[in-house]
Amino acid sequence: MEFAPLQPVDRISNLPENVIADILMCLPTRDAASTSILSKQWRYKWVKLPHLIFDVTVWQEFKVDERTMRFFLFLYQVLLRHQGPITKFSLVIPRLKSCSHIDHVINFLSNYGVEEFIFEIYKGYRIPSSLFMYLQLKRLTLSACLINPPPAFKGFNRLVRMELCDVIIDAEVLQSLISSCLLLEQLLLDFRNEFDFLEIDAPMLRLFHLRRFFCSSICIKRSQHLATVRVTSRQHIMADEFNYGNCNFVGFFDSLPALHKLCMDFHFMLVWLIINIIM
Amino acid sequence: MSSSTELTEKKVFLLKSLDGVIFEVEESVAVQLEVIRELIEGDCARPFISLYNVTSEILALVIEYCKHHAETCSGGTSATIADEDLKTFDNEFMNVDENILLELCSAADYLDIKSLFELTCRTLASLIKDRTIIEVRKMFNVENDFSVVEEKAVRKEFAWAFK
Repeated sequence: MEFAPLQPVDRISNLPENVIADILMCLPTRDAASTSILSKQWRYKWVKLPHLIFDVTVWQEFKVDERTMRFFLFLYQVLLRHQGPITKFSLVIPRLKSCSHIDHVINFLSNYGVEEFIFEIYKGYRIPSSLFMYLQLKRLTLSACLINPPPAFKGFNRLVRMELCDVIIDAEVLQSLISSCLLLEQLLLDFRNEFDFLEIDAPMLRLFHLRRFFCSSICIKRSQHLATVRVTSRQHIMADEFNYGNCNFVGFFDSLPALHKLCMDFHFMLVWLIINIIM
Repeated sequence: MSSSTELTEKKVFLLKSLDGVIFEVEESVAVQLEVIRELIEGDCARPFISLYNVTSEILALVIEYCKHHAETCSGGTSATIADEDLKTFDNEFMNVDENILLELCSAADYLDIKSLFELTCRTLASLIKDRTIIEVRKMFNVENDFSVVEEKAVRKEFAWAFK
């Protein structure tokens, strides 16, 4: 028999289902949904993806005066269509202002077993108490919001990674939030609350990344696993950041028996030198 | 063939592709193929391993990828430099046509090489993201089997999804 397959082969549609799903999960939900028009076979592939990702690209395409309404119409349609578990939810639209729709969505998702939650909207949004019922969470990234868990909150029992950027939170609330997550292995803090003292009690912590100095004194309790510490600064050092360079790092490093890798960037070193040696 | 003393120092495995081409690889490369890793680590691997789903053209690329990753990670350079080096290598490595990319993705899934699988998935996703649906169909030879009416209905239903 002759080999004459001049007809080009559709290799992508013939990939195993799990491979197609993994490719689509690298895309924001809107782009994944757009594949529904490729062919009949692709019609409903996106509705079963366990990752929902909403970013600024779709937001920008709506008319300025009806963005919020259009965006939530879109988000609700996605949720109505969705089938199966939602293990990752990411909403990163820094210009989206606080509104009750967001509370509803976070509340709605509390039954879905979300394991990864990434959230950033316009600054000052108060995280609703329903987020603290996401007991399956393994990775949490919160930016520019106000965090105050309800008194009954007992911790995220499965959380291994937490990133807090530009959040508004009391030192005591932060301490208790961290200490209530017993499996926490990676912690990134990047905000400028002026804390006098912060005690971090996370017995499983392996990686601690401080992206800006924000505290005069940090103490780590039970640091037997903490192998990597990163202290970095943002690229542009503002004059008022010098206040935050006055951090007692000497005592901090004293308490780290398992420290294996320490990274400090140039910007941090510069401020450190200015504060501690030149001034 | 190397002498037996050398063999005990540096174990070598022979990987046979679908089309019968045999590749000699060191253990540090072979263990990156999770599908055979357990066999190797448990010392149960025959020196000759057939990989039925991978052609020689693709297996050669997979081995090149694993070799570079193994060498960079054991090279004694600092982690940051190694990361940068791998990033540059990965970017250049992904500079292949979409058919090779699909085959690499498929092979990485079959051979269970997590980093290569994620890399190819991300690259394929970016090819889809930057194109209109008509361009995606053309690029991957996906036949549009919707009737005009059906396609119009889907487009209307998910109007927000289309650029």
